[in-house]
Amino acid sequence: MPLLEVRDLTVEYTTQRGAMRAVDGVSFAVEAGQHLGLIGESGCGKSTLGRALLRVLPRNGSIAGGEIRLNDRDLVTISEEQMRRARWRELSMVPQSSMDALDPVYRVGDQIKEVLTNRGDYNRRAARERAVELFALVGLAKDRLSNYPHEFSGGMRQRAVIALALALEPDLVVADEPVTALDVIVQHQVLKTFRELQERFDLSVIMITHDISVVAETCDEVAVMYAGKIVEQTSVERFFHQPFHPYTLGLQNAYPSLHDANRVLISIDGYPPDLIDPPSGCRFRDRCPFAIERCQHEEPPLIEVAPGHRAACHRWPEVEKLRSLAKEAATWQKRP
Amino acid sequence: MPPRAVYFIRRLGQMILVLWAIATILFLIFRLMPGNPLVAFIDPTFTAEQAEAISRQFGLDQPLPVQYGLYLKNIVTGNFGTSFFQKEPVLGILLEVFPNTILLTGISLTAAYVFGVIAGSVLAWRRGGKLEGAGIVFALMTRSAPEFFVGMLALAFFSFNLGWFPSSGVASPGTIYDSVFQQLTSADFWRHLALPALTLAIYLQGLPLLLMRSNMLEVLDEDFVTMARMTGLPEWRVMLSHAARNALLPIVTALTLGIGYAIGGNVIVETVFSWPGLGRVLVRAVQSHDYPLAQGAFFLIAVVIVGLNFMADIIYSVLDPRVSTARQEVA
Amino acid sequence: MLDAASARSELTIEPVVPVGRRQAIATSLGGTVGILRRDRFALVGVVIYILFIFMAIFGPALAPHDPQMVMEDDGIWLTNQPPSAQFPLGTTNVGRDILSQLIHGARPALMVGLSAAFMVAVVGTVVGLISGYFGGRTDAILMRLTDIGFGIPFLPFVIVLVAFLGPSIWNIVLAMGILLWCDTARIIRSQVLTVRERAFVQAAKISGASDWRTIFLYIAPNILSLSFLYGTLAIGWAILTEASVSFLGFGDPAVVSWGFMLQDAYVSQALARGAYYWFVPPGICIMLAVMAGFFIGRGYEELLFPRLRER
Repeated sequence: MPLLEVRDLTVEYTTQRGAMRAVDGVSFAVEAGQHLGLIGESGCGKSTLGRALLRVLPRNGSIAGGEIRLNDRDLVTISEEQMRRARWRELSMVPQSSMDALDPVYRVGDQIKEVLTNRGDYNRRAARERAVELFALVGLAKDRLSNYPHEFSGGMRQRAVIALALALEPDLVVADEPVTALDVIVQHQVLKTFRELQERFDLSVIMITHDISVVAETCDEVAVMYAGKIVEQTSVERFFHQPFHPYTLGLQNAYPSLHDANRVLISIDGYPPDLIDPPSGCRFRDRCPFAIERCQHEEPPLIEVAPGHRAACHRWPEVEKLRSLAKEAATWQKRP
Repeated sequence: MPPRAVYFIRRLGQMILVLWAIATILFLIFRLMPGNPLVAFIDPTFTAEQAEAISRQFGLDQPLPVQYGLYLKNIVTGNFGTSFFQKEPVLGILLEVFPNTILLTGISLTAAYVFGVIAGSVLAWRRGGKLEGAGIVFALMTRSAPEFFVGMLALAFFSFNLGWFPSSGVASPGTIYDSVFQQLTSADFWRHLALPALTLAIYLQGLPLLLMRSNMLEVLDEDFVTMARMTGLPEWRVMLSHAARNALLPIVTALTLGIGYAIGGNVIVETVFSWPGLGRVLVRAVQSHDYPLAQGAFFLIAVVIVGLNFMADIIYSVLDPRVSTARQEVA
Repeated sequence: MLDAASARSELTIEPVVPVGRRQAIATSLGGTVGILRRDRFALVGVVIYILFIFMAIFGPALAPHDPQMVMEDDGIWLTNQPPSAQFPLGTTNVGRDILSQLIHGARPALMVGLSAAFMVAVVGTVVGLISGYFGGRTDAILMRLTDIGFGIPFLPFVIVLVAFLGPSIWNIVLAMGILLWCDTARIIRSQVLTVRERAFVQAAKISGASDWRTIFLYIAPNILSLSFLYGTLAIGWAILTEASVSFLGFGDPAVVSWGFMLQDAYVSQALARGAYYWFVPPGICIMLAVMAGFFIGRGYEELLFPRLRER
């Protein structure tokens, strides 16, 4: 049985123009010890999905339907108090803006200890020892515990937040763009630390990112999100070598390849659709170079295209042809 | 030296600089105004010897730069001359009323800020409701009402109409207190204090209330508050030790800026309620052209403002760890 | 290789729209109109202003009596009359018509309010622009000046200055102007600090625009709405201050202002007599005039204290 099972999850924001479905009927599962990468452009609902798992949504957001099963119960329907108790002990989060996730007026160590004593079963002394241990785990010197957040560099703050996320040894960590704000070298170090911790503690991780290289470095399973829906999900190997969805193909074009340094980077023209009034049929159709008449009216279902590989595209049987076409820049040029 | 000590010393230096500047401005106002400078210090009713003594003491027969030097020396030593009307040293008169001003200001400021901070947090917490709208209108009304108008209403209603409170003064005739403690524990004192303190507090609470509300709303959207919530800390803890704690910081800054206006309010409230304090002494001295007294009162009021500002800044630097280290680099 | 990746990583890039002079003025005016449409508070504020402006312009024609004239009936002074058909708000202790005084009070209030606000906004904006744009020593000196300004007790300073310069409303305006610009200057300065770094300002500098040209043609338009709002708030402060000064007895003796009316009532024992009809109306007029300014600037409350953001 998987550790986490999300079924048909829908999250809505109320806006002045009406309800906006940021996450629209998403289903996926995470096995114990698995590292799932959730990838897609900004604004496609990844972060909303992550925050919905902890039920900490912005004021105008709410879970409109679906199930989040973790440790044999549905997080959507339990009381707020039960949810509060589940947070951090069962699942924790490294939020998108870790830079500002620490309270500026308290020492970093005290903030970690606050969580340990209030949420965990630590007394003051045990909390102090545990904080030292956590800092060592993420590669921070223990005398840094008495620093304030503003005395930390970006990478150090990120590490401190990761230490905080691991404090109570949760089953699942949702990491939302944990390295985006960092420079490239620090990015690499932090991801490496992350990977080591995953292996050491048999931790499940949902890694939310828009950066394919992060997926390559840390994940074993990948789900691609577009306009509030999962459009493709598979293992990391298949994701890189046998992708099915045109959006995935486009995403890979937009990133440099390790193996083919001469390849030209091609970006996908246009923007994701307006989720208050989403288009009919396939949501990617207006930006898809392979869209056909059918894509206009009929929404492609997310079906199993190979064992352990799901994709939502009407043209998946012709995938070989699409893959070779997708390599050419001309294919992605905006059609008049 | 620890950064906080460095900050403290810098701020102290700045405070002295500001006081010096204010003293200089006072010097210029009282010396360079039209008319004979002697007029400002020597009352026609003084005897020739008295006039002679004062003239020597303040160097009124000397050139301006010498007068200025002498003036600064006198201020540092607390020598503000002799009042024209009471014929007593200015410093003595001022020190006598000084505690009254401090008590009135201190008590009203504290009450106003405690109330404002709590009410502002509640409004932010109940955002979007009827209570919030009513609270904002109330705060804006109290900030728009002149203190003397509020004071007059309070006097007319509570004092003259209902007879609950005395209409003037700091104590019933004939009352003498042996100590400040005795004064503070006497019912008579609080009965006299009630209306002026209420008037001043009504005027002062609007600013912290509105500011706390908007800060709270802003802070509630900060990432670290979301984070605290995500870690599953109890809601009251998130609200108090993270949200309110941070929203409080700008209130302390507002305090430093609000003190100047508070003391301005004092001048009026003390006049309306005939409260013998620095503000009333200043108004009466200016009305009766008692220049040495006016100058001394003005300077002492400035000292109070600058001193309170200094205190507020120090409190701020204790509350916000970023100040003592970060601001140094900026300055 | 990862450099390229991070450069590309945001697939959607927010468009950067440079704000030109015309547009900025248009948006700040459009913004004001927009505020009125959205915010009922602001609308109420504007309506109150329009009413007072009307009173100020046509007051003398509207007022039933001369505000200083003693009302008589067959040689008997009509003193301390309670409100009646003849005197809707009653008469003072020497028999002057209170309603007429009230109507006449609008003019000095608005004159003081508008002229002081104009001074405050102009001086504050210019100082803020120079301080924020040039930075360095200029900035340090100007900001120390505002420190001194904040240390000077505001009302006592106005009283002393007016006592020396002579009791006229213009001296009151001058005294206020000397101190009140500090607030505005600090706000404008902190705003300039951010505008200064924006791309279109940098572009103007690179293309060889002189400092003053950059300041007034490129930066100033972007802070115009802020100056405007500060002016609005200053109107309230100025009216309040003038009333306070008049109440303390340092007002212009030739002018019947609301503050003067309140002082008159206070010293004439109106409180002890419970003559609410005398001192309540002018007090409410002052409140409304000040509140109107706050209503308009309400949404900008947090901008009131620039030091909050600096820290």
